[in-house]
Formats: sequence, C-alpha cells, structure tokens
Amino acid sequence: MVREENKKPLLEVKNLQVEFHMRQGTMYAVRGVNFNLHRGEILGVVGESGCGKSVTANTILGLIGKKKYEKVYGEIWFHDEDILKKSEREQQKLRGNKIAMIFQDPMTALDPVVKVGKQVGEVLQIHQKKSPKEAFAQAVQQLIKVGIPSAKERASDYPFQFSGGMRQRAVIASSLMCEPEILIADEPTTALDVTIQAQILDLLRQLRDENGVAILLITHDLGVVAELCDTVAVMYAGEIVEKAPVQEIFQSPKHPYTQGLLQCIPVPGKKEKLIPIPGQPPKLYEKTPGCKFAQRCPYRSERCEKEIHLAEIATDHFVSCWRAQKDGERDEQ
Amino acid sequence: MNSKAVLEVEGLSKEFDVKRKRFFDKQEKLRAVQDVSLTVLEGETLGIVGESGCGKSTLGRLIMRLIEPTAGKICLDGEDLTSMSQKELRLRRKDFQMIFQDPYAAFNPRMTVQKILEEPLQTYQIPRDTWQQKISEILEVTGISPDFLRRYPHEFSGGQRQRISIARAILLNPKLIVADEPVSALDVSIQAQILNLMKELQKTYRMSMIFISHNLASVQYVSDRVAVMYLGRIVEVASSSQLYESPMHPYTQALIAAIPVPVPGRERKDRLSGEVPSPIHLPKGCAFHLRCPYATKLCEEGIPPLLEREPGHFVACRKYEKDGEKK
Repeated sequence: MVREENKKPLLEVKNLQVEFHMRQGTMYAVRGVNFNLHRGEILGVVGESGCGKSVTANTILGLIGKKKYEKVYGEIWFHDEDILKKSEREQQKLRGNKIAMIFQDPMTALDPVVKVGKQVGEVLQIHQKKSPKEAFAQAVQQLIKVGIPSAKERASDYPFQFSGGMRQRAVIASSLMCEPEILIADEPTTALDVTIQAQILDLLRQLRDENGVAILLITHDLGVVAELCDTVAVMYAGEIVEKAPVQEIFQSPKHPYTQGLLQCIPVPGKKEKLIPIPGQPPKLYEKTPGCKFAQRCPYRSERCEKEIHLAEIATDHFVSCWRAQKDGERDEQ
Repeated sequence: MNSKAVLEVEGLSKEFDVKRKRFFDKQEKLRAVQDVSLTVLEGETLGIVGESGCGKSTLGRLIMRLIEPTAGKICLDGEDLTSMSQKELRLRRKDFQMIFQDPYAAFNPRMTVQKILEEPLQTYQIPRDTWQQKISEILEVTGISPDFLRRYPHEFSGGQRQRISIARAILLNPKLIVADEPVSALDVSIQAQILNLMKELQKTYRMSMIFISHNLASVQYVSDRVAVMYLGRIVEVASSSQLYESPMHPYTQALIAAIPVPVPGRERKDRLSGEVPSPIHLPKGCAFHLRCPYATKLCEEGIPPLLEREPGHFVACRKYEKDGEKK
C-alpha cells in the first residue's frame, strides 16, 4: 500500500498518556504515545501483555477516561476534532459508527440471548434510526459479505449455535454495518485456530482493499503482523519504542527489544536455538525518564538513563534508543 | 540411534457420552480420540499438534490415566497401565508427570513453593534427609532463586510459575513428561525461555516427553518427531524437519500454509476453506475429505490407515495409495 506524502492522516494520536490511580499507587499504562493512521492503512501495534496496547485502543474509543481513577492526557484528532475533548454523548455517536471495534473473544462480544441478525443490525437502529426490520435485512446482507454460509437462515440463530470462526465473522459484520472509517481490532484472531485465523486475516485484508477502511491491529503475534500490516509500532512498557514500515521492522530492526522479539519466536522450518530476552517486563508503577528496556538490554550503558524519545533514523523509521540514534548519525556522516 | 520405547500406546480410543436432549433420544457419542497408536522412545520428544477439538489434550490426559480410555492399551516401560488398579497406578505415577497449560491454576495458592516441591517427595516417601538437597538441585537447573521457597504462587509471574511447575514435574526423575500447551499462556519473550529450559532439561535427564500444542512452530522447535491430529485421529507422523519440509497429508500442508510467518511479503498459499466438522457426527471415510482439495470418491469409503510411505514418515491418506493396494 503506497500512501501519498503530505496526505492528512485520518487519526492523529498526540502524546497520549493514560494513568490509573489505584490504592497500590499510580500505574502509568501509556506514556506519551504518538502515531498517525492513514486511510487504507493497516497499522499493527505489537507488544507483550501489559505494554499498553489495548489501553491505547480503548482510549481511542473513549472506553477509558470516564472513571475517577482513570486519567487521560494528550490529544486524539479525528476529522479536525479532538475526541478526548468531546462529551460522552458525542463520543457515543462516533463509537460503532465512524470508529468500530473488533474484540478478541467473539463469545463475550455477542449477547448470548439475542439472535445474531438482530445484534448485527442493532448499530443501524441506534446510529441511523433504521427500523428493526430494515436493520435485520441489512444485517443479512453484511453477513453474506463476511462469508457466512446460508446467512439468511443463520441470522435467526443464537451466538452459541455459531462456531468460533463464524462468531468472529459476525462480530466483524456488526462492526462494519455503519461503514466505519477506522476499525480497531484488538487481538481479533488470538482465540481462533490457525486455519480459521488465516481466513479472518484474509477477510480483514479484503475489507481494506475494497472499502479503504483504516485498521488498527493490536496483536502480540509477529507472524500476523507480517501477513497483514503496512506499518508496525512496537510497544514496550507504555511507550512506542520503534515504528517503521513492515519490511523495515523485520529486515532491519533497530531497537534491541524488537531485535530480541524477532529472535525469540520459533519459526517453522528453522531449528536454530532461540535467544530469549532475559528478565521480566518492568512494573508500571514508576515513572523513570530513561529507557524502560535498559535493564534487559544487552547494549545498556550510562546514556540509557537519560530521557529518550522516538527519532527518525531513516525514512519513516522511528526508534527510541540512544544506540540506534547515535549509530544512525554516524552512518550518515 | 537404537533406543528402547518408553511409552507404547495401542489402539487408544475415548468416547464421551453426549447429554441427551430428551430421555428417549438415542445416546450419541463424541469420539474424542479414535484408534491412536504411538510410541515414544527413550530421551525422545514427541510433539502432538492439531486445532482445538482434535483430541490432543484428551490424548494427553488418557496417557496420564487422568481419564479412563474406552479401548486400547497404554504401556509404560513394558508395563500395562490400563489394567493397573488405582493403588498400583498411584505408585507408578512418579514415573510419568504432567505439566499443565495454566501455571496460575496448577498450584494450591495456600502452599509456599517449598511445600509445593516437598509434596511429591512426601507422597513417594523419599527419605526426609535428602529433600533439601534434591530441592536445591532442582531449583538450580530450572533457574529459580532459592529465596522463592518461602513465597506463595501468586507472587510470581507466569514464566516463573511455569518454571516451578516444571521443577515439580521433574523432581522425581520421571521417565515420561506430558506437557499440555506449556507455553501458550505466556508472553512471547518468556515462551522462548521456557522452551529452551524444557529442551535442556530433557537432554540432561534423558527424559521422554510428549509436547502437546496448537502452535506448530513451537512444537517443531522442541520435538524430534511430530504427530498431527485431526478429529481424534493421527493423520501424519514424521520427524520434525521432514514434516515441515515435505508434509504429505493435505491437512498438514494446509496447516503449515496457514501459519503466519514473521516474513513480510511472503506469497500466500491457498487457504483451507470451511471448518472442522463436529466430532459427534463424523463424516464418512476420511474425516478430512470435506475440506480436502484432493478428495475423490475413494475418500468417502473407509478410513485410510496410517502407513509408512517414506522411511520414518507415516501418513493416513488415500492419495499415496499405490495401484493394486486395497484396504
């Protein structure tokens, strides 16, 4: 996917910070995240559990920041408006309409006592004030599009009568009803088998190609990222540590964490010894200025305690690592 | 390498009764494992892969004798486990141990690590004066710090808990370890640590291991041989490199093609269409023929036997049947 330069991004996330104030202390879940999402782009956000990738996604949808202990700072620009400044009612108009979400577990995302067709069409009743009958008819059309066999009959089934892959297709269908501009998919295939996962990934790719919808794909699986994404952002301890086009990330990863991740996943057909990343991910209760990965990093030095930000070291390739940034400068000289 | 077989499984089957909707309904059976035979040699790791519902975990539990088989024989070191009484079985259990998927649920939350590790020693009446030595030895090889002994399971991360779980399993020097999805609940960077640890331990202690997982890449990384299961049956067995380089069964081929590989821009192969049929109403003949691109009329008749088509490479598919060969 080639995107034109200077084109205005669809979604701009600027210095997003999310904190949870709890009895144990303050948890800094997202610490200054910046990224843009363009039309027709699939941006993958990868990281291990607790790195803040899901919190970022939920904040974009306005699902975080309502409760007293949740604090959100920064800006999220969508169509010249800052989503975070909007009221709950205004946010509701966006949610499921212009920005839709696909959740990880299709069984908990669906209401077990409502027929699938009714659930899928429900968004139309809410956002477009369609009659239940119209909504149901359109839901059937959408179910056909996402590849549910004999959709007309299956629309009157309940979610438990669907298999896992079919449920996820139904969830995707309901997220597409209002023709959203942005689709946020939080681990959409993690609960599915590999052969079904492949089918769902194909479906997402097809949606992008046909409707030009922008997809924010949140996953921990680098294989899924390589298959589907155009751009990749690697998150660690609430920060984006590296962001680059998908080819760059896999061929010349610059951040030691990205390099470590790539070395520690078994690749079918290769028997070389895996090199694990030593140690554990850090606790998120402290706010230290330096590199969060330093404790586990093989190239750690004194400069790593200084504050570090993402910097562009090659075209579209951003890294937040002193070593990579300094080495990059040396190459240019 | 001419090692002797540690585990021999013959014609193992397990049927579960399906709950009847009405009293006079016919009793339906869910055939979770059907006629599975396999051997595990001394010091060998056999991987078992398959999608959810293929019966791989049921097979693991059957081998552990956690559930009773409907038919078949399980022999450990030449001794038939299926005919043993519960009492005899209990004494034999120290020779085959299990590592579970969820390291959060595998421990009693009220026991310290010390207690957790002492329990098997106490059960099998190992002399008390050797306990401390055994425990410190196992802590060292599994990479657990001795300060952990006084702490409780909830204080540890998933990776550390899985280490404790492994330590508990190998404490009594078992001949066989059954590991059911041991790394699936862990983060990727931690998965590699545990996979490497299991590989090392298996080498040092020359244990046999059955490694069950849905993730073909990690199965292949730790296993010497891999068995692929589909709807309760083993459809292909081969050495792990053979299986990846030249898979013979169409299901294995599709499975390998479906794995997302961390290499961008890779050409996508044909996807498998459809989903796994229900194990209650199994299709006639080869269970895979409904999704198989090479299916012929022949595939609907009778179940293809698992036969050695190349040295060490077993496959159950009509495609490789030579002319004149009849079932």
